[in-house]
Amino acid sequence: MLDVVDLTVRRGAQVVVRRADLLVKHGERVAVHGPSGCGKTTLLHAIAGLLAVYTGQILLDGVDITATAANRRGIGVVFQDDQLFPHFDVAENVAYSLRVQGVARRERRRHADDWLERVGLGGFAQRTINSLSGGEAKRVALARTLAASPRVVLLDEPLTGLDASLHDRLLIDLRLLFDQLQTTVVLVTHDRDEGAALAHRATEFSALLRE
Amino acid sequence: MSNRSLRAAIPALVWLAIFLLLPVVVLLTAQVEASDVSRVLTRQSTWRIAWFSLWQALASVIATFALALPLTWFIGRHQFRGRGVVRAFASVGFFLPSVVVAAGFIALLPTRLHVSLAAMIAAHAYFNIAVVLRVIAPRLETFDIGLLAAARTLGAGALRTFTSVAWPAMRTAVVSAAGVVFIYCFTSYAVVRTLGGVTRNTIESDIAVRAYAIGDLGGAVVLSLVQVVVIATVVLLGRALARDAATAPRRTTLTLTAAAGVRAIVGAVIIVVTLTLVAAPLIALAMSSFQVGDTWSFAGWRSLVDNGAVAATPESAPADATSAFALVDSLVTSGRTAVLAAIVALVLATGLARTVVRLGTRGRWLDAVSMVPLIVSPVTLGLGLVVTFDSGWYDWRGTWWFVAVVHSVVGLPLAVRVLVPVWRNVAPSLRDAAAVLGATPRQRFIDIDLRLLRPALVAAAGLVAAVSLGEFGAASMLSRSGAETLPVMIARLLGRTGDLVRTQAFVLATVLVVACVSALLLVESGARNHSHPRDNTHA
Repeated sequence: MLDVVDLTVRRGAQVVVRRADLLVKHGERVAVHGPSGCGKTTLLHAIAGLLAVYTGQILLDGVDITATAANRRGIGVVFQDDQLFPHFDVAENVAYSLRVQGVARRERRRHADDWLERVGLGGFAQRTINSLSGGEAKRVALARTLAASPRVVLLDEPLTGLDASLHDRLLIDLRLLFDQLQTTVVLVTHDRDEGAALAHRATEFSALLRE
Repeated sequence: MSNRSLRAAIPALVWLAIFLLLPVVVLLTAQVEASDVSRVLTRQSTWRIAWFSLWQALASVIATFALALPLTWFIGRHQFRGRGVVRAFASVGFFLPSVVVAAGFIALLPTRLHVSLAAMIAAHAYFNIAVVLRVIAPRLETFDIGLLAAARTLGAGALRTFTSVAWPAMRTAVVSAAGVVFIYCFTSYAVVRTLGGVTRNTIESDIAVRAYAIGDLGGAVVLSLVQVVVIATVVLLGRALARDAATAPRRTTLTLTAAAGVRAIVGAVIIVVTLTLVAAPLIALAMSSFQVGDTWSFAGWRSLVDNGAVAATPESAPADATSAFALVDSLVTSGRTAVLAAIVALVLATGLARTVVRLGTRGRWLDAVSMVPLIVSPVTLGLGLVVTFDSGWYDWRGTWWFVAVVHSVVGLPLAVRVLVPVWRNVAPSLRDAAAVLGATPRQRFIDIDLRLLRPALVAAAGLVAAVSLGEFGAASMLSRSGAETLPVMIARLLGRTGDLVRTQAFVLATVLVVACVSALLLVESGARNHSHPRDNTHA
């Protein structure tokens, strides 16, 4: 269970998120809606540990992780623009979390192949990142995040920029995958239909704020 | 600013403090008296030398622009097959050691021009084609030609269009290129010493003469200060002019046109003429390495490996020639010096560049500090090191690695300049992505930063190695007999009489050309390979 309590995040002198609360139960998928620039991405980055929290707490399964480094939180992020590593091939991207744990190359490759199959990209292991289409890159980013076995997955506008048919197909695949894995998900998006299709419940970003 | 951010820069700052700041301070405090200042500055010869330094540098700038602008225009405004190759070949002079270029001009020019002002200026222009090409052509590439048409349709004549649209857009690039070329020519040493002869002294060469031939260290230091003042003035002037150009049209889209018809013919002529001029000294050098006097011979090359070849050559007395051992020693000395200098500079520059990038706009001062070695001439630096590290346990002047230390200082700003822009382009979000996947800060640095920087690291190492292979000013001060670097050995051989001796100089210069070009090809090939990333693992 993810519990964000009275969270305030600043970027420099500017308060971007002021006193936010968010509770996500195990296996639950919550969509957070809001216009561009309202602080949705900042909230996700703070939960992931990529931004320092000014005040408030973040609890994961009852443990305070507010001051825990991003690499030790067990929270995965699918970034809006994927952020795939251009200098690694697809398999090494997907298995990067195993690489940093020192897992042997052969085992990493097996793991990557497995996840690529699950996201519908079997046979893509040795492809370069530059050769991927937008939809393929998004699937690789998803596989990379899920392959790390995170306790919570944060999705930042996951389907933005994809054409309509690709968007709908990926939406269905994501939903099936999350159902199957019982993944706890926080999804931020400005697209209400996307939120409704993917999440168990949806909330406005402004509704998370105490003031 | 956090101490943690600065930590990575500390080794480089300490290095610069010990091997750059300390020698300069020692020079100023221990070697100069008030009387030296008045003595040097009131002497007529000082001003004659300063005037010569100034006008020969200005003449060299004009010659460089005359030689480089046609090709710069054609490359900057036209798309054609082999454009990259032409640009690379035209730039080759910049990466060659100054002594080698001087040797090339001696091999190329008739004997009466071997020691002449024309040869000096031609060699300076030869070096700096690359500066004009690399600084101005990219600006031309992105200049929107439509702006000229817009000005014309608004009633501006050709001159007004140039002064109000084209020149403001190009001014920063032209001023930058002219400033860099001026500084290189103003502080040129090996070319002046080799092609200028004893009667033509610039401030740089006079510093060396005073320090070594006359033993007037105080006078040499005062001249060094004069030189620093001139260079700083040029840099500040260039900055002021560049700032004024802030109102210039912004860079727009690539508007290169395909070279065709008459333009293609004009372009072909420009390319053939320029590349012929670039190739001529190198071809002459290689050919001369197979000639002893007027006779074709392998004696020069054989003398690299076989002392018997020296004795067996009738055209030259054996006493005039240098032994194979000495020639090979200089090859080895140069090689290991270049490798060590590249490694040290790369390690230090990586830490420094990391801090500059991390600090963002707050790191400007550090960026500026890293450039300081560029305003201290190598001769001055060598002089400072000679008088600073001269006794006790720190008498390092006779050690081979001390030259590498100096070259690492000289090469540091270049390595930082290569690394910083590339590092700034590494998206921080990639590090974030690695962090949420479990990577520690160290793993992020290795897997993301270093991996994405690899081509730049290879390029920086190659650049420092090339600089080290060709550096002459400091090496000539610090190299000991028997452990001379190639440029020092070449200059020494060119200064002696005897046909075989001269051929040996041409042989070593040819070897140095091959070494420098190989290093640069390696750099290019490293960069190309990186554009097709392959599986790379620690396992």
